[in-house]
Amino acid sequence: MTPTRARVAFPKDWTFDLAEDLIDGIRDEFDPDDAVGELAPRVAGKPVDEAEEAALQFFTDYGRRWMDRTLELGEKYTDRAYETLKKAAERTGELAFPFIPERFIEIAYLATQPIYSLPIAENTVNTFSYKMVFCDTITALREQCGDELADRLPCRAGCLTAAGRAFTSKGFDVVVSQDSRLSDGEFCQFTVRRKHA
Amino acid sequence: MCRMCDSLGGGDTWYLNPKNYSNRMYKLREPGKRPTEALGNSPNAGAAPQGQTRSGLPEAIEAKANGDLDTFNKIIGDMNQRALMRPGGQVVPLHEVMEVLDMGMPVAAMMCICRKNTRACEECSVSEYSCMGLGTGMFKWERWPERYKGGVEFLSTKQAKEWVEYWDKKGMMHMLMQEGGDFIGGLCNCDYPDCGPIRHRIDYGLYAQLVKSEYVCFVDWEKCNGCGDCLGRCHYNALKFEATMEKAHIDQFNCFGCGLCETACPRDAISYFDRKKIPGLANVW
Amino acid sequence: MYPIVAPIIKIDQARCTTPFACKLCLQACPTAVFGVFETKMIRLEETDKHEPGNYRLRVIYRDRCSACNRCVDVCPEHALTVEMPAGVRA
Repeated sequence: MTPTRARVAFPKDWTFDLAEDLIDGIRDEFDPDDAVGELAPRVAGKPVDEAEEAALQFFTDYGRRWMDRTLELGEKYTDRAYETLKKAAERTGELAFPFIPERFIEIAYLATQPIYSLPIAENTVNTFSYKMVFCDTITALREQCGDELADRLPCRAGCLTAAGRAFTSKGFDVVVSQDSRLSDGEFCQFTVRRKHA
Repeated sequence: MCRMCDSLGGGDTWYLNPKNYSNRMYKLREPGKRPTEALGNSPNAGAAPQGQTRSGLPEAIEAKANGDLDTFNKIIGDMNQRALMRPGGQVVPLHEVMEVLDMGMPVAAMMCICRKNTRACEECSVSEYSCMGLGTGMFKWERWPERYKGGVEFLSTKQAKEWVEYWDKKGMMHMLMQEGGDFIGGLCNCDYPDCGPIRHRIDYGLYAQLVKSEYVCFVDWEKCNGCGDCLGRCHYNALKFEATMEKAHIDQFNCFGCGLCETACPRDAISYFDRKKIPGLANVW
Repeated sequence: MYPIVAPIIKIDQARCTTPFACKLCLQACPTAVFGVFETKMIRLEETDKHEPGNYRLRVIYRDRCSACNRCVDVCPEHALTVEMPAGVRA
């Protein structure tokens, strides 16, 4: 009746947290203040429609580079939780969506925004949704480019691009939408839905 | 409405709300906060079972065992008062467990900590695991192998459903457990007496630890032929054979709506009724 | 509910050293009165159930004890005694 099994001991150096070099590396390159500092001269003095257009373009590019670098460094600096996730995804054939892309989205925001954890609104079989309550990007936009541009939230292009890219790069066909805007309410919410063939 | 639906349901049944299963994978360490020590706090170390250390249940039991019912009742009353603000577990019938599993989330089969503590059960493989961890925290189970003694096994939705059905057949009822107040982290397959929450509620009246399901089971006496297949599956002293009528009998006030009798009935004679729609039971949680 | 005085169960911890590996009383008790708990939780390491002192047997639900003495009978270490308190007639 009593099963026998060898006692388990795992390597002592296993880490389940994100590597500091990973976080620091992304933070150095994609600091929201610096990014907006780069954008500010390009939109200075422009009518707001034109400025928004330029900012959207800028943030689309920023979001793409930001997520690409996160994907690259995130794979380089792995951790035990990610390894377990990959094994579980392989075993079950299911868990890759949404959890593998979720990992990279979490890393991207943890590295660049003033948060200690990313508030996840939903991570289920076809949907991934998260919130940004405290955002340094919009604060920097207000300071450096003025309220008029900041109220139009051109930085959404960065988040939408990055979120979509995290999923498409892992082979998922998705639609990304924004359900709530920090400029209008309390937080931005982005939702990634899986497209079904 | 049960008190968890009230606070967590967003107008609906709380455990069917995907928000209650969502969870992050990582957090950064806040400045000044130290990593968890290599030697974890073992809250159970030679003390009381989970949740009892601060609850005062050991003191209540001691008083009762010494014949001092006044003290016992006072402690239990205080504990119930305190627990009202805290979420607990809720009984969930099999058909709704299936809906919960359709939402996805990592589902990992693992050993039951209650059975480990009360009956010294060791569950060492997926064919023995009887509990289920939900959520991204399960990706980090290896940090504390003693807590997940025997390992864990991640399951696909289909496997998870088959697995819960297996335990249902065996006679385990299902409940969803809250972790840390904002996250459903456990789907348990339980029976009396090894399950902590069932026992605390049935034996000691700690009703906030385990809330009854959204349903109450009724027997259709037209269909019931008194075969008795359902008998022995109830963990709540609600089901018996009524010799006078030669039919199964369910006490509606004792029924927790777990549906174990329903899943055992070969004639579909037992069915679920919405607790909220039965005036005399709508407030019986 | 009316007051009933329950038996007193004594565990000789010097004799009962590996209760999680032994588990005889835990599984013999008709009302599941006992509990067994690890005495320490170590990161990345499972507690060895055969190492004396790593687990501890405790009486959790004494009010449910009927003094049927099944646990006393199965204990290979003679570590258990169950008696009615002094002054309570059996």
